[in-house]
Amino acid sequence: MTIWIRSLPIVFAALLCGLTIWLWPEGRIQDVPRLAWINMSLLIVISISLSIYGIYLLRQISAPPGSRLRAKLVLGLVGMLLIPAGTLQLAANQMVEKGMNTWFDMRVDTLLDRALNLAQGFYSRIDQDLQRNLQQYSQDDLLIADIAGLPISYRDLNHKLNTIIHHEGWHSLQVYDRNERLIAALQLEGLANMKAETWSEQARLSFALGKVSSELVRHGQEEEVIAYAPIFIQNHTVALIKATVTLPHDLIQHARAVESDYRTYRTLERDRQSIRKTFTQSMLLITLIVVIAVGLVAIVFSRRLTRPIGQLARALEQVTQGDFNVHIPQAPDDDLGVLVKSFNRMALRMKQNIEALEHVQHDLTQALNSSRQRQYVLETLLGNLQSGVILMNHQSEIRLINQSFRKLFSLSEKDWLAGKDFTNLALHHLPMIADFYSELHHQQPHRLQRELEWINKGKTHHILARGERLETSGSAGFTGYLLLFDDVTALADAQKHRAWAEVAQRLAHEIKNPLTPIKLAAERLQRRFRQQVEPADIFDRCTGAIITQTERLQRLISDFSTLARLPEPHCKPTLCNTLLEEMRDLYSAYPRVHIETNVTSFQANCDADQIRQVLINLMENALAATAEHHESIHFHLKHEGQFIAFHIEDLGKGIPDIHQAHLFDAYYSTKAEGSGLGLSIAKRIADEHAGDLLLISPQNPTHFCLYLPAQSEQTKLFEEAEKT
Amino acid sequence: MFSTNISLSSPIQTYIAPLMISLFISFPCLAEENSQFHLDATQNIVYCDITPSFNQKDVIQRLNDGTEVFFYWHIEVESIQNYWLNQQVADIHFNRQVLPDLLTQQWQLHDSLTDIPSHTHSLSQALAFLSQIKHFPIIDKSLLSPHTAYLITVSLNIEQGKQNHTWWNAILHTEHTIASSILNLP
Repeated sequence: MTIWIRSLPIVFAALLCGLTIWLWPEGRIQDVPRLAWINMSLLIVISISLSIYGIYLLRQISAPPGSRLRAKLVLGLVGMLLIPAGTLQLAANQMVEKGMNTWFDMRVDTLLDRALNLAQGFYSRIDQDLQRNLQQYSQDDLLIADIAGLPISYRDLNHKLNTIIHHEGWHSLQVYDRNERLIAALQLEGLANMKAETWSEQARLSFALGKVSSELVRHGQEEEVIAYAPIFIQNHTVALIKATVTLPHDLIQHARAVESDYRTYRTLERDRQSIRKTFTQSMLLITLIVVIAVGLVAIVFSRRLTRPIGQLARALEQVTQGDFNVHIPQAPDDDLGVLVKSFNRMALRMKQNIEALEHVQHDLTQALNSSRQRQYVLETLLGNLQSGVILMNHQSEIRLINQSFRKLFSLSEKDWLAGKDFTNLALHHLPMIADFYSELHHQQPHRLQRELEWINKGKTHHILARGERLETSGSAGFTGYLLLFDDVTALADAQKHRAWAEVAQRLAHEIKNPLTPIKLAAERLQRRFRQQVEPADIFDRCTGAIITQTERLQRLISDFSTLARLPEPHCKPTLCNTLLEEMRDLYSAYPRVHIETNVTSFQANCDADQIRQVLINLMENALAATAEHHESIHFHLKHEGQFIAFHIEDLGKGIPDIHQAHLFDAYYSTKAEGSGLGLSIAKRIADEHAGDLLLISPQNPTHFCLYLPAQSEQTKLFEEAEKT
Repeated sequence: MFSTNISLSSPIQTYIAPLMISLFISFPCLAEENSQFHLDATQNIVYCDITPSFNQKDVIQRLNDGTEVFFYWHIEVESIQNYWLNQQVADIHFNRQVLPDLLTQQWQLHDSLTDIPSHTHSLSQALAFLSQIKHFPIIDKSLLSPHTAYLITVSLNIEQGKQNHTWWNAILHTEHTIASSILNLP
């Protein structure tokens, strides 16, 4: 619920407070009509109720379901009522104001005054006439004589009274003596209905005071004017005459109506202002009562209307939170009832579906776990596999690649990733792999195996490549290519060495034996027949050549034997500086040889005799390369990571490119008298020491480096020194 | 001039009009200040004289307009209790009424205590009849205990128009205390 709707009751309460202050009655409390206080009380009660409700709404953090609709309904209904009610009240006030102005017109006021004066004159005239005439008759000597005469002449008295009644038009005429006894009476309708009556207070007062007086007596709808006149004889009151005039019925009614209207008019006129206020207050009271009633009805109605909606909202909230055990029990027999029943059916169906889904999810989770386990095993297997493995789909997109593949071909992890296009990458970095893949892609058989040569940094690697085209089978639904690569360089080298060793052994066995007799025979010939052969110099050259070539063949055979019978290295910690110092002593006769003995004494785990042989070989090659121009040779030692590196650099003629690939092959030599086994043996020794012999630079300088594994403690010390 | 004995009656005048007047229109005549109240306890009976202060002009105006005017008097005698509600000893209700007759221009006087009708042509006499209580006997002193304090309260309610003893009149009846005095008997 928005803050605007929440604060609406407070706004209404404030408006009602303002209205209460505006309508607050003026004057003393007891002077104010109760209706005004009732209205003020109602206004205050409504204001307080609205304020409390507004505060409740504002403090409420989350509105309960359906309350927003309920509040809107109540506010809407009350608002719809307030507008016409206010308009009606204003219109009614205007009408009353105009009506009162018309009602209390001056002409009406004057007319009523005149009517009342007329009625008063009518009564006054009858009263005055009756009193005046009765007083005249009471002073009539003949009448006094008839009344006071003894004995009383009733005939004359009645005749006299009859004359007076008929002359004056009175209703009755009665004569009483001083003891209130009726001594004569006459009335128009006869004496049959006449009853003796005691004197009224007015009659006694008139008799006592000796004055003529009158009174108005009402009998039902009729009114009579009765006048009393005392009879005096010698200043003594001796009798009382009572004359009655019955007022005309129509006149009485009209006169009393005029009096009543005048009284009402004056009352209303006097309370004119009060009436207007009263009307306003009455309308306000009615409006308030109707507003309260409508508000209560609206609350009840909205509660009945929104209860199912609230239940639906709560149930939906439960469903949203994952609780499907919801059921709305009450369902009214209307559209909302249909909605509730539909919701109950939907909730039940959702619950069943959710249960089915949970069951399926459980199965899928188990399958996924199993799949993940398999994937984990596969990834671990691939990770630990020495062979490079790469899997592509039928669009040549890499789906799987292991670390060994990148390591095997010195590839960047940034470029060679799953999702990349294998064909493009292979064409740029590994053309022979691209050819192999293309061949596999286009050939008919599903499998392909090739041995590839890959030259990296001047070193030739023999790669065994195997390819498998994967076809859709069963539920796998995957087609692609699986390539496996193994570096078989070491294996090829070993096979090559083994082959050469066999050849060497056979050669040594077959050739070495006859060489010694040949050489001995040649020397014998030289010694025995030199004096006898002419020319002697030719004989010497021939025998010398035989002896020289035989010796060369013997050296060659010796190298072959060495290559074939190269013993297992007996490694032990060896001070590299010692080796360097030995080399310096050995080649001290060559001024162009510069050997740097390191201050730090590195230790390598090696066989000193074999390493010395390698170093001498390298130094001899360098001397041979620099023999013509005596370029300088530089020999020094470095600790590089886990290896001790022996660097030999010379500024000789260098090694042409065509020879670089076969530099370490057996029987490959650029020298006429070389056997081509020196570097091959040196390389083998380095390999058997778990090190390496590399051509760093072919010329300017020609740079060879022998790597030997350093002692582990030495490595640690070196790393600490590097850090500091 | 002559006296009148008029009794108009209709349901509206009898029931609804008094209710409406009581609800909607106030009769701002009373002024509680400056009322005179005098007790006379020198004889066997306690008498009092009461002259209330009220808006005479308004009452006269209403009488001249023909509106009946009632003075409802209420005199209450209570024994003062220190730690409890006062104990009522006497409770006197009476009213005086003046009914104007505009046609005969006289005012009929009625006292509920005597129930003797009388009339007068003098407006001042009618006003005095309504508002002045002279030597009014409140209570016999034999009913009072010596050395006891009694609170005598006089309340007055002035009403106009036809009055009827209906249940809502009893509810809506409002009294105004105009005077009170404490009586200590030796």
